[in-house]
Amino acid sequence: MKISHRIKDRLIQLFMISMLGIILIAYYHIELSPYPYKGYEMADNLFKKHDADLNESIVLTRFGIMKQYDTVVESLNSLYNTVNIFESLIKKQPDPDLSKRLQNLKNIIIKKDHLITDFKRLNPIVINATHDFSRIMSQIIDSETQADIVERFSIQNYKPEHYEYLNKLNSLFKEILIYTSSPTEERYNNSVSLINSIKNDPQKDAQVDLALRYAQTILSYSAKLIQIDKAILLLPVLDELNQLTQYFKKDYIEYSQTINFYQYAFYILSVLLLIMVHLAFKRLQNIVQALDDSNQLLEQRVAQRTKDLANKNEDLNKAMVDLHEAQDQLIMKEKMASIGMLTTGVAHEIKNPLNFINNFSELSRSLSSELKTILEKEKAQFSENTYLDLRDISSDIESNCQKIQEYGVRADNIVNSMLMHSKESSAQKEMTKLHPLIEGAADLAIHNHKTQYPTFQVKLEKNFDPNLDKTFIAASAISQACISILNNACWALQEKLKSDPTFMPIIRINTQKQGHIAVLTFFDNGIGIPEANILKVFEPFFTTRPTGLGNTGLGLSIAYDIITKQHKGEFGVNSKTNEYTEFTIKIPINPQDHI
Amino acid sequence: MHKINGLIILLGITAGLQLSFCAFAIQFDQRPITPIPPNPVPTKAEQKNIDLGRQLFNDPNLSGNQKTSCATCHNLSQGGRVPRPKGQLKIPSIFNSRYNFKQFWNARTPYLENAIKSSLLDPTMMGFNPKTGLINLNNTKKYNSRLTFEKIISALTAYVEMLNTPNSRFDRFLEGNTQALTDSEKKGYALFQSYGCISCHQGVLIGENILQKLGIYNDYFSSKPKLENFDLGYYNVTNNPNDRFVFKVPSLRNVALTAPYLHDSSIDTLNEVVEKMAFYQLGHPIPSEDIKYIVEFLNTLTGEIPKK
Repeated sequence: MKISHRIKDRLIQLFMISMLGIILIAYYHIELSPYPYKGYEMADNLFKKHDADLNESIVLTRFGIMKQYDTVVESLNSLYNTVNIFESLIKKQPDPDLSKRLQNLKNIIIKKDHLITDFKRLNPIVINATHDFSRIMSQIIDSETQADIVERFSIQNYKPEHYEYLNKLNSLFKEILIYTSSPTEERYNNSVSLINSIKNDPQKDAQVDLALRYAQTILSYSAKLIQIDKAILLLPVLDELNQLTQYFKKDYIEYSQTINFYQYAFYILSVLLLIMVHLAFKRLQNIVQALDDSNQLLEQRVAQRTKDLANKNEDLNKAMVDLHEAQDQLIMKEKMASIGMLTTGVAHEIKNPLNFINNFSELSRSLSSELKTILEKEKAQFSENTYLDLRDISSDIESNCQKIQEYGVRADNIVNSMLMHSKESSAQKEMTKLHPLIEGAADLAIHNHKTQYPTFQVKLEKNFDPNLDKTFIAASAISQACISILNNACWALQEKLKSDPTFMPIIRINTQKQGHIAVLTFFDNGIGIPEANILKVFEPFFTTRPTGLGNTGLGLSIAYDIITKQHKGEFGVNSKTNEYTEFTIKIPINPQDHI
Repeated sequence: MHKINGLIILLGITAGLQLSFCAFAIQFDQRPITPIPPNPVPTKAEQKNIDLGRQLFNDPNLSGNQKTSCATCHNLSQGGRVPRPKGQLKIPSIFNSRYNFKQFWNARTPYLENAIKSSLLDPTMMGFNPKTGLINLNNTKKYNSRLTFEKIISALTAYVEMLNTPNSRFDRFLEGNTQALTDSEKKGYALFQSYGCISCHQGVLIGENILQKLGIYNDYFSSKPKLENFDLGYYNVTNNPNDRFVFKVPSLRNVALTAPYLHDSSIDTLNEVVEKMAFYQLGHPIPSEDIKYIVEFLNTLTGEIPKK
């Protein structure tokens, strides 16, 4: 079974999170959750110290080295406080075993407290009694011994009973004092019997009575006190404490074992997590790298596509332009053809009437000159006035006929020109050198223009391609076309000179061999052709020049026919108003070639 | 620590070794009586609590009958208590009670808080009812904060712990000023020690750290016409017949201010009580000449009474 990438990522994520959780738990156990019974060792030490202090102060007070019990009270209170410390420790994490052991310890301290209370009660009594007893006894013995010295000199006063009595007192003194530190039953019985015998002795006085009373007090309390001392010091306080601390220790060992476990877990898991984070980071790096790469590739591709698209677009635009041009040319060709046919037809129909008009006007003119000569001869037959009238009328007829003839000739010219359209293929084409032909045409055109405008100066630049030699053309037709173009150029330059006399007119003629095609360009820097007219220039009868002066508006139209129809070439124009005009002629060089 | 046990056995055998032991015990203040230490300087919060305690101490609303305050029985200008008629249980002085090893005549509790609590609740003393009493107390609006029983106890404890009487003439003498006592007072102190009074009355408070039976050598209570329950003393706490007539040894601090004496307020003067103490507790009379000196010494134990 194949696990999807998404689920795999999720699983890894989950794994890392759970690992982090375990690490946090381990950390909590190691650092944040301290040993619940932390400080038990200190309490243990404190307890031992206070117990020792207590015992010490009990001993000190027992022997009267220290007279006050404040230290006993303080030590005991401190013991209770220490037990409270233990209690508060156990409260943090209750444990029945610990509580039981602490209770034992507490009980034993309470026991000790009770014993100490008794001790503190009895101790002053014994101390005072011992003190008073020894004071009184030593007083008695002092005074008796002094009396003894006196009495020893008077032997008659010697009384054995008295001597015995003094001995009894002495031995009681000794017995009691020894009894205070080591009370034995034998000593107790001895002392009691001594006390009894002294009590019954008639020689005793009030002082001795008092001493006996203290002796009795000592006898009754001393043993008890020593018992209490023993009981206090033999109480197994430290044993109970040890049991308690043993348990704490055991607990601590368990605790430190778990802590160790958590510590190992913490270290191992931390390292594992680090490795995983490292791997994840690496993977991320790879992904980012791959993403970067694919991004770059994508960008490159987009750029490539955009470029391709732009190229295609350009091609398309070019094709469109070409199409338009072709369409325009096609339309133009069709237009030209129909106009050509029309004009040819019309010219043919007009030619005959025009011949009549021309011939008869010629005839009428000669007839009117005849009429004039006759009138001169027959002058006398008419009155002066009539003669003058007749003469004037004949002059008018003559001049009218002359005008008719003049305009008839012009119409005939036009018709002849129009008939040129139909004469296209009539001229014979042969391999002809182009350059002399063009040079001749240029000279002719400029010279012709100079005859009308003698001041006209033009700079003629000729860049002829030496590779271009003979071309298959009808020389007269091409020459005519060149003259028509150059005529127009001269006129455009002349127009520009009118507005700007400082202007320097230039005509530039270039020829170039482009493969099997001869390309001729005729450039002038004259007034140019307005954009609105640029398509009309090849139409017959379109002209911007004043008519007359041999201008029929057919020059470029005929040139167009010559080049496109007769020579299967191309004829194009390019212009900018007030800057330049450039006509381009493309003609196949050899008869088998075509454009 | 075991070493000390061993030492104790050795010491038990010969008293002669006691002297050598002295060097060991040098860490303790060996003077039978030590001066009262000066009061600790409270922090701001503690001072606030103490002030509240002072106000409560003097407030009769703290009692069941709305008439008794702590100060009614523990009058600071009368030695920290008021005298009671003969035969009634003597009111212990409130002074220096923080140093008492146990509270009350029968030593029924070691803790001052408990003593204050039980005095408040005891119908024979304050008779305070925490339920109705707290409402009353809070209704008086005398206190800035809302009182709880615990707060009251804590404040009273804090206040009472400040009611100490340091700087008595005797304390100054203990601190090294030999001029603080007159010769006869010094003689009184010497007699106080040599007669054995010091055996029970020692420590900071000159008493207040042990229990003792009243009537060691002579029966004190046989002369009483009627035995009161409080006469049984520590027996009331332990029910142990040995503890009959056992009482806490009272402090002799400010003793001149706190007549009448003994737990049952039965003795009016210091002279008389010294005489009686000698009879019952020491077992032999003290000459009246010496009693005079001892009383002079007792008069030097009056310290600086805290202000209201």
